[in-house]
Amino acid sequence: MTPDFGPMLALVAATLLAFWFLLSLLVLIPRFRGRVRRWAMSFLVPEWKFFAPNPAQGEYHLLFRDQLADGTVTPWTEVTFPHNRRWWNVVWNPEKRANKALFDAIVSLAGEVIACPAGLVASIPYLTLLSYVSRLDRFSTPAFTQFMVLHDFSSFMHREPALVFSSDLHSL
Amino acid sequence: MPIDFSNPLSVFTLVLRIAAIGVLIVSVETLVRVEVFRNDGLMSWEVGCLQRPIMVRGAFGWALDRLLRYPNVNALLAVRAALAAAIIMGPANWVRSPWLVCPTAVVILLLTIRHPYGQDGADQMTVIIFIGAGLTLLGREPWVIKVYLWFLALQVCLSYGTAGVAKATAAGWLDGSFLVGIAASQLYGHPRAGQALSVRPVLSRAISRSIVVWETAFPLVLITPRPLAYVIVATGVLFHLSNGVLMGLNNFLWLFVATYPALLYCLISRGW
Repeated sequence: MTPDFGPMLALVAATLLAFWFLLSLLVLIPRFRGRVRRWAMSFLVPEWKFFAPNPAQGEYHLLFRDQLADGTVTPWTEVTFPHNRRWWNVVWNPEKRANKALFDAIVSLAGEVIACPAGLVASIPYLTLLSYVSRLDRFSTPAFTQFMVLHDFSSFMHREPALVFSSDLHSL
Repeated sequence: MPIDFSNPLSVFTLVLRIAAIGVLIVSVETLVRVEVFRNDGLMSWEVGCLQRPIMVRGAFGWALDRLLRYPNVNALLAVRAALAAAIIMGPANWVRSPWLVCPTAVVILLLTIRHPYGQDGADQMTVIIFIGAGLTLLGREPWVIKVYLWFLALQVCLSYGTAGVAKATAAGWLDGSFLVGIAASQLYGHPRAGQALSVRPVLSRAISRSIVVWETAFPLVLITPRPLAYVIVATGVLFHLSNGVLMGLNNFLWLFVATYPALLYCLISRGW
């Protein structure tokens, strides 16, 4: 006779769901946040901020420039993605993924600059941006590249863009 | 055919079908802009795999690399789209089958861990809905579906409530200036809405405070008398619809609204 594991599996499944929700509550308590974050990956236990408490204000800009083999340095070039809001974005918005990835990488880099400057060049946001600008199409064949992040408040404050970070030159 | 919101199995099916529409859309969106996943893209696996040592070590790292490297990831995106289409259009017993839902959950999980950037709250809700559904179906007992529906209802209440309380502590949300900043931004803004709000501080403050109150009070839906609770749930649909139009957050509409049938089930099953 085959043993019936049904009730036990059901109990395990229900316990896991209850435990998952408990973790979702615990991550909101500062005392447990670090431990829950270490234990569970952030996509399983999100913090649900939705632009709170302080949404990123202004625009971030990613720029790069190259040094050619003869020592010539090219002007800074901005990396841009399509941004125009269209009415059909309510159902179809394929551009959002790249825009969000760029935004996340830049905001993470800005955080790393303050939190861990010593390990910055090996951090995921640094490597993401360096890898990306290094492989952009160019008219020339550069020997080195460098990237820079600016924070621009000009759309609602009359202020010059602020330098968030400028990388060293990296060999290509 | 009208949906019986007191029947957990019907509600479970509806939750997964609505969520699968969002998954299908995001899969096709990613396939048509797959350059972001290439090795020269912003979400390259070459960088994404460095998140944790386990992602590059041993047999697990080897298997992840085969599945998630470019161009192999295209196949995974296509499989996710096909599984989502099967959930949307297949018969109800497919949607209640672990043989369809568990592979969907695994593919969603793989694509979620691939890179830490480029994802939002809708992607997080996708994980909660499908991993939770996979666990539920492995449980194989009807009562686990009821637990799952309560789990989803509590998760969506927690999401709005947390965001609302966090906003209520920020002066910029209470005076409306953060809302103007978001509406004027390139990533989530809308040029006309941004302009309109920037010259109408009273309006932007009123909208901003309404969002804070609505989000903070949303969890009360579970203890609110039913007619009023239905109104609160309906405003949630309008909230996500307007976010889709103005902010381009199209997938929040499908993934968050997918949890609303679970809310309705909870409202009916509580018995008053």
